Amino acid sequence: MALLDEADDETLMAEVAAGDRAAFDVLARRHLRRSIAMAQKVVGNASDAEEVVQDAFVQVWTHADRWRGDGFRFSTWLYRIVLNRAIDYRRRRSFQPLDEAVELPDPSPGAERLIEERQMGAAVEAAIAALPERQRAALSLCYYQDMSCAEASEILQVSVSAMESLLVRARRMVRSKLNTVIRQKDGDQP
Amino acid sequence: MTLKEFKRYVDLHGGDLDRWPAPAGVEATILLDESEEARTLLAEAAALDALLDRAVPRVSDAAVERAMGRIAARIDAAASADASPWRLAPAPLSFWPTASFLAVMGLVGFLVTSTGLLPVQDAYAAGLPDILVMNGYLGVAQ
Repeated sequence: MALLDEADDETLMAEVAAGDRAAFDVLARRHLRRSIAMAQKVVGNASDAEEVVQDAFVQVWTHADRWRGDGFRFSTWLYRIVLNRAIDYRRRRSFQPLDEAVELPDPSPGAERLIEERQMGAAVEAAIAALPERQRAALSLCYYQDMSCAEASEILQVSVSAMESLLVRARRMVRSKLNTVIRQKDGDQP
Repeated sequence: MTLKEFKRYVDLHGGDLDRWPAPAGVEATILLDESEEARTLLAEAAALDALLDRAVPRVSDAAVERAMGRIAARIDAAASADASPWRLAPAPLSFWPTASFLAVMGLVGFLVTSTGLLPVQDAYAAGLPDILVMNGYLGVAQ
């Protein structure tokens, strides 16, 4: 097991293709957290993201023999499966992020501030959720997963310049939706 | 770096120069010393980053363990279903098990009738040819 832990993704994937469950477990544990985080930004909530990622990993196990590499890293292949599944999932389901932001009024002094903070967070989530799916995926990869545009472009299977354009449009659209919040926030600062 | 190039980088990488590609970050610092407009653009981008940071996806250890468990359960369930001997051809129907089954049944049928294990009914003796069924697009005639 210690040897498996030290093996790189591509070596592990070769073992998985031969039916090695232990290698698969190491690979899954290594990428699960990031995959869920990535899917979460596309589908809009944690439980759906978990479901999407479970499907993706079962697919990786079932079709492990199809893994060829072809110059791509395993993570590129995996994240591509996760993102495509997340986009499909999102298309099939409707999503209302603001429903989760409903708060009961609390008379304590810090409560108003807390509600304001949560409402702001919900407004940001809603602005991201309103983006077209590929822009949302671009923001998830480049901003939240800290990937370079080149890495993200391989996952989304677009050119680097197309990736940059998606990211720029995503940021501009979120900013335009949150302009009121940004001005309000600037007004709060001394 | 021109202000136009600076704006493009701000739109792409946001208000934190540490997230910019290294050479562009250095050039941006020089421009920021000279341009008020560049400073404003960077401050606006930083404000947007601060808002985006409120929506950082957080994945708990429990969520990871839960997903690991469910993935393992689904793979185990699929493996045990595949190994069930009573399943001739799991969906989608696989060709060879189905073809083999039909071939064996055909052979058994042939052997049973050719060895006389089952009596063959004579249709003429039963008078069945008297009943003529015509089935055409104009209807059924007897």
